[in-house]
This record gives sequence, C-alpha cells and structure tokens, in this order.
Amino acid sequence: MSDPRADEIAAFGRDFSALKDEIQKEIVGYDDLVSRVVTCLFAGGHVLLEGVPGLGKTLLVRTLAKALDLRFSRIQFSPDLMPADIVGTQVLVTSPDGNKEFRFQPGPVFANIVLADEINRTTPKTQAALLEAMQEHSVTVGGTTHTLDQPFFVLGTQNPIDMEGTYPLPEAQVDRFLFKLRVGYLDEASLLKVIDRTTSTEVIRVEPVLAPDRIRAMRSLVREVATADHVKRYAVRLATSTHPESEHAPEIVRRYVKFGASPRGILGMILAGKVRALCQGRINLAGEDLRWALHATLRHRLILNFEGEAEGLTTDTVLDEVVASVNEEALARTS
Amino acid sequence: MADPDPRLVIASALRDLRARAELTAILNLAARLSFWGGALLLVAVWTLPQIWLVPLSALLVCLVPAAAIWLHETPDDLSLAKQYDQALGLADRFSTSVDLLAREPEHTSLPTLLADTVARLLPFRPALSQPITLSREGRLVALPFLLLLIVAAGPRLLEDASAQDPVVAQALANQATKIARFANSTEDGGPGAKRRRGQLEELASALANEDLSKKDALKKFSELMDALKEEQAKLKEEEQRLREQAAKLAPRKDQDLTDDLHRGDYEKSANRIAKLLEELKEKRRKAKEKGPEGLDELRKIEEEEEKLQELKAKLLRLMALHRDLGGAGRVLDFLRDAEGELGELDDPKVTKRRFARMGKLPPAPPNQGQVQKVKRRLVKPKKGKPGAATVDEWAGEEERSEHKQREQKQKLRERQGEAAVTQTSVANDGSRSTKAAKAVLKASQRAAEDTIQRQRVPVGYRRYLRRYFKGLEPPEDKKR
Repeated sequence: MSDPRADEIAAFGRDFSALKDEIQKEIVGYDDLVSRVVTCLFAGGHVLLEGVPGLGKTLLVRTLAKALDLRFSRIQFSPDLMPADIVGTQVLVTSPDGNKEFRFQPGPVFANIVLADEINRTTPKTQAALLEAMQEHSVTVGGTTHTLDQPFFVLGTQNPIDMEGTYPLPEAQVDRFLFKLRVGYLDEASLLKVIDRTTSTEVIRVEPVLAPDRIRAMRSLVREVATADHVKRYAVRLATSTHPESEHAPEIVRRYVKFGASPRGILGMILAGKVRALCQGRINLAGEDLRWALHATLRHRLILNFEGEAEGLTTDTVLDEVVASVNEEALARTS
Repeated sequence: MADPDPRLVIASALRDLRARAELTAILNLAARLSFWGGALLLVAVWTLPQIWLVPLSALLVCLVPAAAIWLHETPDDLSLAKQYDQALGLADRFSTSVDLLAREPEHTSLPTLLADTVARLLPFRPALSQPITLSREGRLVALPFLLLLIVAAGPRLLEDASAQDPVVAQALANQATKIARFANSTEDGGPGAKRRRGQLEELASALANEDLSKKDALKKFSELMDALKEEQAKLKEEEQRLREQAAKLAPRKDQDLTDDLHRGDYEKSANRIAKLLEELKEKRRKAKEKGPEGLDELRKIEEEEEKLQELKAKLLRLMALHRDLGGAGRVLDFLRDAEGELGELDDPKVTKRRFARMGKLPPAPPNQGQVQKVKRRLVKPKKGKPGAATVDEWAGEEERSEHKQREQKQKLRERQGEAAVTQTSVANDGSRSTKAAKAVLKASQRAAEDTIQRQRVPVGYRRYLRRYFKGLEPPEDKKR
C-alpha cells in the first residue's frame, strides 16, 4: 500500500522541477537563482533581487508569473510614486442610480506576483505601503481592510550601484524579504545562448505548469515537513551566533557586526530549508538544508559596523565563519 | 513476508549503536586510563622504592578495566543517531526519526519519515559511525610503559656496569697495598727508578681510592705496562747503540773484552778495562822513565788511555742502562703477576651478563677429577745444537711435507675441540745449555706475556699461561 505522504513528496519534487524547467526555457543560466526564487515562493516569503541593470531580473519575474498562471503586476518605483499608487485608492464614482459614492480601486499590489522594480528609488513612505502589504497580506484603505489573494509573492529589485536620488531600504524593511539574492553576470556560454534567443526569430513560449491551488497545497506540504529538536537548535544557534554579544559568536562577529539576525531570519531559514528537503525527497528538515538557506535568508539581516564596512567585509564572509564555528553534532549531544 | 515495523527497526538499530558506542567508549577510556596510569606509575617508581612497582602495577591492571567499565560515558540515542546520519549521509533522517518518536510520536509525517529512514538504514552498519579509534592518549599508551621499563631497568644495568663489586673492591685494595709495598721496597736502582716508583704509587692510589671496576683496573695495569714496555724498548735501543760504540772503542787485540761487551757482561768488561788502565799506567811510567825515547810510546799510551776512558764512560752508562732495564723488567714482572691475579678474579656479574646475552648459562666449573688426554710425541734432537731440534730437521722431505699436513689438520681439530692436545717435546740429549735457566725462563715469560697482550687473549685464559710460567719459577722468586 503506497504512502500518500510519500506520493505527495514525490509530486512536490516533480512539480518543483517542472516549474523550474519551464522558467529556464526563457531564463538562461541562473540555475541556483531560479531554484531559490521558486523555493521562496513555496516557503511563502518574498524575494529581494539585487543586481546591476540588464541582467534579466524583470524577465525572470515575468517568466515566473507566466509559468504559474497567476496574476502579475509590475510596479516601477520612482521618486514621485505615492502609496496610493501601490495599494489603491478610493475613487468617486457615479453609481447606476446616479448617486455618487466612493469605490475602492485596487492598486497593482492586488496581484499574485508583484514585481517591485527598483524599490529603492521611491520614498520611504511608499516603500512602507508595499512592505506593509507584504507583511500583512492585506491593505487598509479608508478604514477598510482588503485581503490580498494567495499566493501573494513580491519580488523586489534594487540596483546595488549608488545613484542619485535613491532611498536605501531601511534594515527593518529589508527584513521583510525572506531571501535577498544577488544576481551576477552570466558566463560566456550562457551569454551566447541569450544572444541566440533574444536577437533571433526564436520564440519561446512559457506555459503555465502550476495552478494556484497546487501552489497552495505545496505550501501547506512544506509546513508538514518534520523538524527534529536538534535541527531547530542548530538553526537557532546559527542565528544567535550572528549576534556580537552572544557567547557563541565567533571573533569576526564580535568585531565587525553591529546587529545580528532577527527571529524572522530563523523562520525564513527553516521554511526555505523545508522546501529544499522536499525537493530532495525528504519529509524531514536536515542541517544541510539550513546551511543551504543560510546566506540567502540572513545576509540582509546582518548589519556590519563601521569597522566591518571599512574593512570591505561582506555579510556572506561573516556567515561563512558562523557556519564553520557551529558544531552541529555537539548540539545533538546536548539535546 | 510483511515489512518489519519501522519503529522496531529503529529501536533495534539504536540498540546496536548503543552497544557499539559502549564498547568504543570503554576501550577508549581504558586506553586513556592506561596512559595516565602508566604516567603515574612512572612518577611513583621514580619517587618510591622499587618494591612498590609490582603492587602498583597489579593495582593498575585491576583498576583500569573496572574504571573504564564504570566511568565510561556513552552518547545518548539522539547523538548516536546523528553520528550515524553524518557517517552515512542520511541527512538527519535517522536522528529526526528518533527525536520524533520520543517527542511527537503522533506527528503526521512520522510514518513516512520512518519508512524512508528504514529503507536507507538497512543493512545497518554501526561500525561506520562508531569506528574504534583511539584518542591521542590511547595512541601513546605504550609510551609511559616504555619509559617505565627504561627507568626501572636502566639504573640496574648502570649499577651493574658502574658499581664496584665488593669482591673486586677488596681485591683492588689488596693489590694497591702490594703495589705500594713493592714500590717502597723494590731493588730498582736504575736512573728511572724514581719515576717508576711514582708510577706505581699512582697506580696503587687509583686502585685504592677510585671506585674502579675490574675492567677499568686491568686497563690501568695495561696502560702502565705499556708505558714500561715502551721505556724498555728505548733503553734496549740505547743499550744496543752504546754497545756497538763500545765495541768499536774496545782494543782490537783484547777479544775477551769485546766478547764480554757483546754478551752484556758489563761488570767483567769494567774489570777488564780497569785492568787495562792499570797496565797502561804501568806502561806510561816505564815510558816516562825512558825519557825522550819513550815519547812516541807515551803518546800511544795516552791515546789508548783516552779510548779506554771513553769506553769506560760508555760502559758505566751501559751498566746504568742495564740496571734500569733490570728495574723496569722487575716492575713489569710484578705488574704482570698482579694483573694475572686480578684477571683470575671471577666477576659473577660479568660472567652472568655475558652468558645471559648469549642465552647460555655460565659454564660448570671443570671437573677436577678428569685428566685431559695428551698425546706425546718425541723428536730426536739435532746434533751439535742441543735443545734446538725440530721434526723438520729430523725427517726426510717427503715425510716432512706429510707431517706438515697432518700437523695442520691436527691443529685445526685441536682448535675445534675435536682432538686432544698434542704436545711436542724434544728429547734431552744430555748436553748442557749455556744459558741460565732463570734468564731463559724470564725471557720466555716475557715473550709469552707480549704474545698474550698482542693477541688479545681473554683474561680468563691468561691465567693458565701465567700459572705455567709461575710454576717454573724457582721457589725464591715465587715469594716475591
């Protein structure tokens, strides 16, 4: 007699791979990036993509939306963008019976997949409006709360190059993104393929492979993944080791880190790790899953002090040291 | 056949892991305790009397396994499962299963997890996650015991080598007294007597005051005897040279004087020269009486006188050399006897050690009742040369070569202990030897001694040779 749960796990893996393969019909290279974006989708989080212009960040998001048959909206942030331009506003309309009334006009945030392009170009007030929607999965306009449809997945992009007139996202806001992924340059072979695809008559059709219900089901399966006590302790130890005042913090954290990862980071790590476990065909979260998710979930939650920035350290370097300093086996012994 | 219950499989796997982990922990702890126990034992042996070595060792042997069994710590089930996960790359399946079984047995995903885990768990190989590896102390466990062996056995060996045996000490003290007495009472009247006396006194002091072993004492004897032999050789060389010069100076017509000089009969030569000088004195007086006619004769007489005076001076020097040689010879003879006595001294430690090294027991003392078989062969003496005949001169050529081969074979067999000793002696033809027996004996004794020293004959065998010559000595010499 087959185990339904085992079948679900197998199906999850198949669907995940199918989605990824569909996206990669149009997106050349970026195998790991696509995996992580899809992971974040099933973990129920949001992704912040950081990279120079022209690398295909917007195309990735569009392709993702096409592959998921979900409503997609793009918000191009600019300095003059208002919160109402994102969440929507009340407009005065004439009803059929001739009366004037206010009707809520939903903003672009009312989509399943939202591309918040160049999020660091808009004012903090407008940023806050989006980020509130991301956190609450609802929008309150004129005293009325409007729930956003699920799945609700925001992909923000920001340009890492300092430019005039940008408003860097505050740390507290950045913390709302589950993953922060760096989009790097493609290698030569991938660039050649990009040229072939984009400058020829080749037409690539991306078909939807997953329905919204399936996504919801997959998301709920993620939460069914079993987590052992020592694995949770490992996740907690990894996060607490990023705090300079912690007794477990390595020297590099004590010296160069101002603030460590928040509890949201631990949750993100675990959820992302669970998705990976399911992709690997497991119903249990393992330490290796946490290590896989660590950099993406914590790199934007660590704040370096002046000395760290002056030294040119990156949070990825600090996280590498943190991983090396935590003994996973010892945590199992002390359970 | 129904699939086994995953929970039972997990439980069984944990049991196996626990047993293996216990064994590993006990062995590791036993190795560590042995290392530290050995180190403590080493310190104890160094500080306490060695009598404590055996009981402490016995205590260690009993305590270590008991302590290892009692005090070892085995990791808990979760740790064991985690180790197994890491060893086999199970991505925490086993440890999560164990954890959920303990904490959340009703978890919705548990049955799937158990099935997945069991599928990967079998065949179960606990040795992979619990290899029996020794800790650092375990790898070095032999070190303190090795040091213990050196510490315990080393001083004893050094003691054997360096500590003076009381028997040897007594013997050396006796020898020192004899040497001192000899040095003071010796008839050594030569020019080097004072120096030789000083050397003897130095040797006596060393034997009495320094804690010498028998080997070192014999070495001191050898050193002094070598010095004396060197001195003797120089003196003989000078004597030979002076003798030749003296022989040239001796008047040609006086063959007796020349013969006396060659024979070394310096006293007789001196008397002869004194007589010649007297004669020359008388001749001078007569020549003087002749007046101017006797001038030539006088001149000749004076020349002769001068030569004789020179000869006399050389003779006096020769006599002094001869006395010195005699003195050195007597000292050497004395030292040889003393060395022989010391060499005869049995050193049980040396014997035991030598034979222990060879893996044999010391030889049993010779059976006094047995008589060694000796073949005797008599050879005709040579005519005209008493006491000098050999078998070569007696037999014909064919017989000589045959005999030589037989002799060689016989010697080989004797050396190998397969044949009785052959003694060859020359028959007495009744003629008298012209040399004094004492001189011949001493010369032979010295020659034998030189051979002993040159050939490096073991000390134990030297005594046989020395006893032989000692037995030939006249009774009055033995008393010395």
